Amino acid sequence: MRVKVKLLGVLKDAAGVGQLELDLGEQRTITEVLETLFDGRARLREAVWDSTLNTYESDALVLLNGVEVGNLKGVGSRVGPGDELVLLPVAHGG
Amino acid sequence: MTVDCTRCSAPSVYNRPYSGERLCGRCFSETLLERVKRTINKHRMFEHDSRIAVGVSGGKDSLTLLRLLHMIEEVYPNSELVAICIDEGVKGYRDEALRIAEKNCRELGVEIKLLSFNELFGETMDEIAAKDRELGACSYCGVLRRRALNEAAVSVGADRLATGHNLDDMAQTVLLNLLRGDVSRLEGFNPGGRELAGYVRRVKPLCEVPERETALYAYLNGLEFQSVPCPYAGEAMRGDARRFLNQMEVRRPGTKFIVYQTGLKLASRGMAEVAGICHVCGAPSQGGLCRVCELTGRHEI
Repeated sequence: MRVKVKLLGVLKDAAGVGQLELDLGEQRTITEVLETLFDGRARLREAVWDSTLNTYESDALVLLNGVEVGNLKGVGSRVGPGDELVLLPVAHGG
Repeated sequence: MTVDCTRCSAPSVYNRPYSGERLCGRCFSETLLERVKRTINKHRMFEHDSRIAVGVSGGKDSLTLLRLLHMIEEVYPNSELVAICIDEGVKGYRDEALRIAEKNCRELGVEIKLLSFNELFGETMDEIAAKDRELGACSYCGVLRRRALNEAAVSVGADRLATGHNLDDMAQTVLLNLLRGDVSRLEGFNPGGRELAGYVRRVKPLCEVPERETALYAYLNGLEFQSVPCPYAGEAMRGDARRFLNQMEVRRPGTKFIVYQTGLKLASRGMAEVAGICHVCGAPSQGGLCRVCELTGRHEI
């Protein structure tokens, strides 16, 4: 299963890439997609993930096919083949 | 599957945690516009014929502010908007931000006024940051940028200076002043600003909009996000306050608004000191020497 990921603003800088496709093998949750995305991208993980709360909600917005995932089932929302995730930075650049 | 928008029958894209509303993109943008209008009216921020200088950094907050004010002021033919862009002189970071700011101003047909730290203070932020210094770079930049915004607003004949401070910024300011034991600094906390000789009245129309929502507004309305982070970002104490408030907001939605409201109450109860005048430059100051003259070493005329 392939999933498109777009990283905007400073998250693009943190990841070193603005757009990529992840090959995940089977249907996954947002959490699992993010874990795959963060693998080998420590700066991106640091910019997005709050390890105290175990969530991205402090520093980023995540949209799945244009819907903010807080409007779905949060990080437990299922991601399907061809879906698109967009990550927006919240706390950078006023 | 998503549920329908609380205000219309379109599919919702956003769940507003502190109100329980589910909103489609169009209704989300409209609610932000309505909230900013209410904030402007509540704090009597503008007159019908105000010439409003808008501090535009090129970041998502100031671009959102510029867009919303452009829509709000369209129905007031005697009011005017002028974008104020301050070039702090941070190589790479500010170059990109100014390009984005200029692009947005051009699209909206808004006049733009540029002013640099170098023109005003004789040195760039990069030069200041390279010096031996006691404070973090953000402390210098914040103080000098406030002065630069005012100088630019005065130079274009504005009677208001609108900045993109959002609810998160406001709540962080309250918490920081409490943590520093310095409630007197909340004197200027009122988002409607105040009249001070030599200063253009500063207003903060986004003061009740959470930062997550300015980011979402910017995205839904096709605004470009800055990709270059400021090399001097990371002022320790504000970062700590931001992290704490963000975590509290996730656990208890509405925390930032409560902290902001507390700041308004403290400011209105006169717990803040009355402003004096700087003996060097004549600017309003809590002591005899303002922070700009203190930080730039201008102790004598």
